Amino acid sequence: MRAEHETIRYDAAGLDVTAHAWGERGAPLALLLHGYPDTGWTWRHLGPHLAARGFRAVAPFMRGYAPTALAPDGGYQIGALVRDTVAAHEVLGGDGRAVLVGHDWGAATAYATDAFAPGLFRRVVTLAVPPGPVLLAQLRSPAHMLRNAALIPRQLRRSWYMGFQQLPLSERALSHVIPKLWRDWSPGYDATEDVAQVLRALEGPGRRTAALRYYRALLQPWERRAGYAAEASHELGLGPATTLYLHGEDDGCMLSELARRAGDIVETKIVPGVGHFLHLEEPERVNELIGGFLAIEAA
Amino acid sequence: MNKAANGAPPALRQLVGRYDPAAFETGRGEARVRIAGAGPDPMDVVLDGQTATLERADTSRRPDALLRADAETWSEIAGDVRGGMAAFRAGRLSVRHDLHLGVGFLAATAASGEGGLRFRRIETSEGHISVSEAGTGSPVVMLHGLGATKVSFLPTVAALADSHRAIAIDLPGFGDSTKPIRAAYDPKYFARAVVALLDALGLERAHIIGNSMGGRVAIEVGLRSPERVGRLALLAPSLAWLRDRPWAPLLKLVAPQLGLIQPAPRAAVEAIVRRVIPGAQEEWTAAGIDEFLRSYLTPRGRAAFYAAARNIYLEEPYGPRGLWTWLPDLQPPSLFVWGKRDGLVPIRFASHVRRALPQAEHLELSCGHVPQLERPQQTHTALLRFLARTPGQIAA
Repeated sequence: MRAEHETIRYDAAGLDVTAHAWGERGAPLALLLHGYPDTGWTWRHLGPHLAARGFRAVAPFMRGYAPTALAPDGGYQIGALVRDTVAAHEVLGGDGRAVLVGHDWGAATAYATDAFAPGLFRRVVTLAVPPGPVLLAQLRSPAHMLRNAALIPRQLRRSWYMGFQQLPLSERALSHVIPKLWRDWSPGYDATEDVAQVLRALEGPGRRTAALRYYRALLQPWERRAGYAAEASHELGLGPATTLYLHGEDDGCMLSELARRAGDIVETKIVPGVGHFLHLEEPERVNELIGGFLAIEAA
Repeated sequence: MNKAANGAPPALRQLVGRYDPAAFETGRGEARVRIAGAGPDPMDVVLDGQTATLERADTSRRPDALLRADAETWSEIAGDVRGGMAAFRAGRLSVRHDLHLGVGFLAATAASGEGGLRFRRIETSEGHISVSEAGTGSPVVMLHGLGATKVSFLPTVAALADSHRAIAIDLPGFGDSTKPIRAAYDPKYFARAVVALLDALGLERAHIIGNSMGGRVAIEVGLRSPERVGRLALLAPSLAWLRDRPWAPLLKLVAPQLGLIQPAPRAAVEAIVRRVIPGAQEEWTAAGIDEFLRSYLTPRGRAAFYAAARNIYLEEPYGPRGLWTWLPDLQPPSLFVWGKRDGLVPIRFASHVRRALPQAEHLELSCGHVPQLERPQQTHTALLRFLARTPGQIAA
C-alpha cells in the first residue's frame, strides 16, 4: 500500500518540524521516527498501513534533516530527540492510545522516550536497534563477552562507519558513504529512491554535520549540549510499555546473532530474509507484524 | 526393440515400444528394470539413456528396479496413457529398489503429452533438484520428510494430477537431488532451495504440501516468502520440541559429517522405519525403505540425513528466532493433518498449533507419521477440498 501523504508542520518545543502524515486527524496517534541515513520517506509503506488500521500516522523529519530545522542549540544527543518526541506527542494531540515506532536512531529514541516518560505511549515498536541495556550488557559483562567472542570481530568490521563519522571532515565523503551503508545494511535492496531522499534532506549548509552529530554526541562529550539532564539519565534505558523489537536476519549494520540477545528482556523477533531496512525491503510482511502488534482493538 | 523380446508378452512389447527417453532422465549410464508377473518368466528392460531394450531376465544380476504386477494389471498399464498410475494408486503394482528408476520408466512409457507423469532434473541456483510431476493447473509442490524422497508423494501426485500441476521434489541432500557437504540442511536452507526451484520453474506462486520435515520446510517458506505460497498443507509436520532436549548439548558437539564414515546395517534401519510407519501397506513400507537406503547408503546422503535430523532435534522452540514465536505470523491459509498413532510428532502438538494459529484447519486421522501413504483416500480428499478453496487460489 502506498497512499499519498499530507505534509504538516508543527512547533516541537521551539523546533520547527516538518512531517508526513496519513489518516484522520483526531484518530489515535502513531508517531514514526526514522534513523540514519534516512528520512520521513522511509515510512511510506507503514504510514498508510497504520492509517488504514485507524491511526493518525505522523512521520517527522528528525532534527537536522530538511525540511525540519537544524537544532537551535546544536544538540543532537538522544536526550534532545526524546524532547522532540514528547513535544510531538503533545502538539499532535496524542493521548493514552498513542503508539510509537522507531527505526535505527528512531528506535534508540523510542526506548529512551518510554523510559523518560512512561505511559505517554501505549505500545512501542522498535526496528534494527536493541534496547540500551542489552547493548551495555554485551559490552560490560565478561560472560557475555566470552559468549560473543566469535561475533565481536565480525560486528566491529561492520561498525567502521561509527568511528569514521567521528572525523571532522567525514561530511565530505557522505555522498559515497550513504549509498554504501544502504548497500551493506540491506543486501539486495534497491535504495536508489531512499538514497536520493537522504542526500536531498542533507543538502543545505550544516545539514550533513547535523546528521553526523547524532554519532559524535554519542562518543564526544563536548558535542553534547546542556539542558537535557533529565532526558539524558534515560538515554540508554528501557521503559515499561509493551514493546516489540524487530531485527532483520541479514542486517549488515548489527548482526542478528547479537540483536537476538534482546529476547531476554523484550519481545524480540528476528525477521527472516531481510536486512536493516526491513520495513522497506518486505513492507507487506513487516507492516503486518507491526500493525498486528499495535492494533487498536488490542488496547 | 530387441529380437530377444520376441517371446515377451504383448503388453510389455507395447509398453517398451512407447518408451520416450525425453520424459525420463535416468541420471546414470545403463540401468536394468525387471518386470515380474506379466508372463511366466520375468523380463528385463535395459535402459541406456536413449533406448529401452526388452530381454529375458538375467537373474544372475540384481536389477536396479523391480516392478511387479499380475498379468491383467500389466495389460491395463500398457493401455493406460497415464503410465499405470491408477494401478499404482490402487496398490496393484509394486515397485522395489530404485523407485525413481522404476516409476520413471513407467512414466516414460505413458505415451501421453502434456500432463503425463514425467521425471526431470531441474537446474536451480541452489544446485540440481530432481522432481516428478504430472497434471496441469495450479501448481502444488510436495516436500517429503526426513529420510524419504519424492516417491513418498507419488500417490499424491497421481491423486492431484486431475486438477493440479502436482510436483513432488527431492529436497537437496535426499533422493536424486544435489547433496552439498557443507550445506546447513536447516529449514532456512531448504526453504531457499524450494524458492530457487519455483524460480527455475517460472512459478510465481504454488501451494505447498509437506510431510514431517517437509512440513517444517513448508512452514519456513510460508514465513519467509509468503508471496510465493498459495496454501499450505502440513502432514504430520515436525515442529520444534517444547520439552527439554537432554541430548542437545552433546549433539551440538557432534559433526553430522561423521555420517560420511559411519556403517549402516540395513536390518536395524529397517526395524526403525517399520516402527515409524505402523499402518503403511507392506509394499509401501518396503519401497520406502528401499528408497531411504538408496540415499542413506551413500556417504553424502548420510551426512545430509544426520545434519537434517540434528537440526530438527536442536531447533529452538521459543526466543527471537523460535518457531513457536513465529508460527502466529504464518500468513498463507494452512491445513494440519495429524496422525493419531504418530510416534514421531505426537498429536498433542495439534493443541499448541490451535493456540498459536487459531485460523488454521485441522484433520486428525487414525494413522502414523505418513498420512498420505497410510490413509491415502482420506488425506487426498482433504487436500483436494482444501486446495480448491479461495483465497490463496492460484491461476494456472
